[in-house]
Amino acid sequence: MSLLSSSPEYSAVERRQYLQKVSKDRFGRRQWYSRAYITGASALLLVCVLPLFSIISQALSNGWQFISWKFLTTPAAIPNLMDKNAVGGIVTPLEGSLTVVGCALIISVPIAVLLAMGLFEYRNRFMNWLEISLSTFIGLPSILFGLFIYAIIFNVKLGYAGIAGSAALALMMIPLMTIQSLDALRAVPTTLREAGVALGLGRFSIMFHILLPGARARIFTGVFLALARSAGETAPVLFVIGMANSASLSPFSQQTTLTTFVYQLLQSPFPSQRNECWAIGLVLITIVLVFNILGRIVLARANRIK
Amino acid sequence: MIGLQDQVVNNGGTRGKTPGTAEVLYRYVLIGIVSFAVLVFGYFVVQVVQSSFNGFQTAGLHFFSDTIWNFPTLVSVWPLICGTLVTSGLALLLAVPLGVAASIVIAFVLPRATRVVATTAVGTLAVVPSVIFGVWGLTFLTHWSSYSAEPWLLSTFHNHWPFNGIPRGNGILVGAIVLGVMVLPTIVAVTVDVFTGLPSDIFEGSYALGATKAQVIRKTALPASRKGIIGASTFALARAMGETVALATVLGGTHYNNYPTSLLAQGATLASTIVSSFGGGFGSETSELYSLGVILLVLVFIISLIARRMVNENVAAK
Repeated sequence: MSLLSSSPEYSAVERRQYLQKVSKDRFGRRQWYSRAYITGASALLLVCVLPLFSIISQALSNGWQFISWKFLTTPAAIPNLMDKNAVGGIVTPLEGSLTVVGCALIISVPIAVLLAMGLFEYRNRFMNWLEISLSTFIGLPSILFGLFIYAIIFNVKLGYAGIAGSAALALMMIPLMTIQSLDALRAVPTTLREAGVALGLGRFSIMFHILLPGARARIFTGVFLALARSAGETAPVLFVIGMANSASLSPFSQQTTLTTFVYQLLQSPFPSQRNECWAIGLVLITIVLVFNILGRIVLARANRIK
Repeated sequence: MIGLQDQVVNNGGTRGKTPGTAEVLYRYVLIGIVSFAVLVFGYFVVQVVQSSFNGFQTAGLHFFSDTIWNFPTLVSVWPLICGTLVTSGLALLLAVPLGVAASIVIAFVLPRATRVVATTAVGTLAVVPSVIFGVWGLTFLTHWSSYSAEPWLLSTFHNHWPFNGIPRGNGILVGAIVLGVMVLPTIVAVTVDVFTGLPSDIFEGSYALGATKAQVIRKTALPASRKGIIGASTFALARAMGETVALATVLGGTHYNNYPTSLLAQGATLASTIVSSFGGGFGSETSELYSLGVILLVLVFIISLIARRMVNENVAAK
């Protein structure tokens, strides 16, 4: 840059003009455009977060008044002529959710983990195809699982039951947890497996003594995320769990979950029940968030150990 | 040489000695569980398709045309397919620009601490139950749209298409907004993954040529991840088309025969119709709802296969 050096071939005026041009560029149109671009994108990010704040503030302002120990532990009351604002509690759907989601978890976790092991151990064209199909099942509309289970319980003449909802949720969770567990198993370093082979271990011992302990945290993360998703699902359980008359933890009786209860209340003409929806929404969001955060904590801890 | 290592690990374990009981049992259990999964998920498709036969049959060859169905109010499947495509399309129109802008900020602009906050906030949106989105749409958005948004649209565009109709509150507009918010986290998550997966030397090259940050993003990052972004949007499309309860709540009930002719019109989608008119039993009505499910299944299956291929290509291209 001979213009910048004080060589005699350029006059002081020319040098100043060049410096002005350079500085105009640095603080000029290009930079201002760039800044405006990034500011605009950041504003759009804020717009993305806006609905979350709206939902949470709505839930707090409309639903917080209902939240009490009594609300969580008494059965629902139906508004009637005497008391138009009668709002009971949510113990029935709370226990229903607990039963349905809990049973779904008990059904799906062993199947998903074993399936992931199978996909991990045996690689061939068929297994590749199975893996791709399973990951396509993740994105399938959840209502189809409900339709499937409904067809089964209708054909076999079983009545509505909580366990049927669990089966639908389990079908929805299994692909998700299988793919997550498979990724977890694949993330364990090959050198560890080779060490196991060098010690003369068979596949079973390698899996249970080396791979599973190494992949445990990520598998738990997958389980928690699937749990968070299934606890908030309405469509797959809506047709098959029936409606609970009283609170029970039996998977073979009819159940109402929190989500289907909200869906019922939404059809109600009473304004107090509309607000109750937000209270249940508050409970639901809390439950789902706790699962989600637990999953993230487990994952973060696993990454830190590594 | 990963293949070689794999072979060593897979074959080396039991070579030269008789495998123990646990090893044999393990093998059979795995084979059993894989066959079980194949059977169940295969049976899933077969059963849903088979339950829909009756529905396809009663409508016969006219299933896709304007025949009167057995279903009391349902005339043809076309309004529902149009409703599905229009609401999902509008939702993407809202969510893709927002989501891509948010991902740009998250991936390229924010420092580490703020990035975690932003991803957590957007990720939380993903776990909000869909029925709560329905409550939000019905109590908050509907009120907003019937008192401010829709009257404003009507007066600004002088009742011109597609902003014509009666400001009822619930309808295609609110449905699209709710759906857009619901698919936003999917778009952001996948797009941020694609952005952070890009090789850093292309950015270093652009910066070395004197490009500003905006130029680097616009001229380097976006073209390099085009397929990934399209893939993310396609994923979101698949999710939006399968969304059920929220839409059944905010689309305005049972307007199965309304083509979505205006933003203010009320309508229905394939999935929302299944939920809002499922009456139980197994008559031809139910079977017709199963046939809607099969149409949905086929659409979503094809779309998510395309999406997966696109995202994988973009990730593999680096």
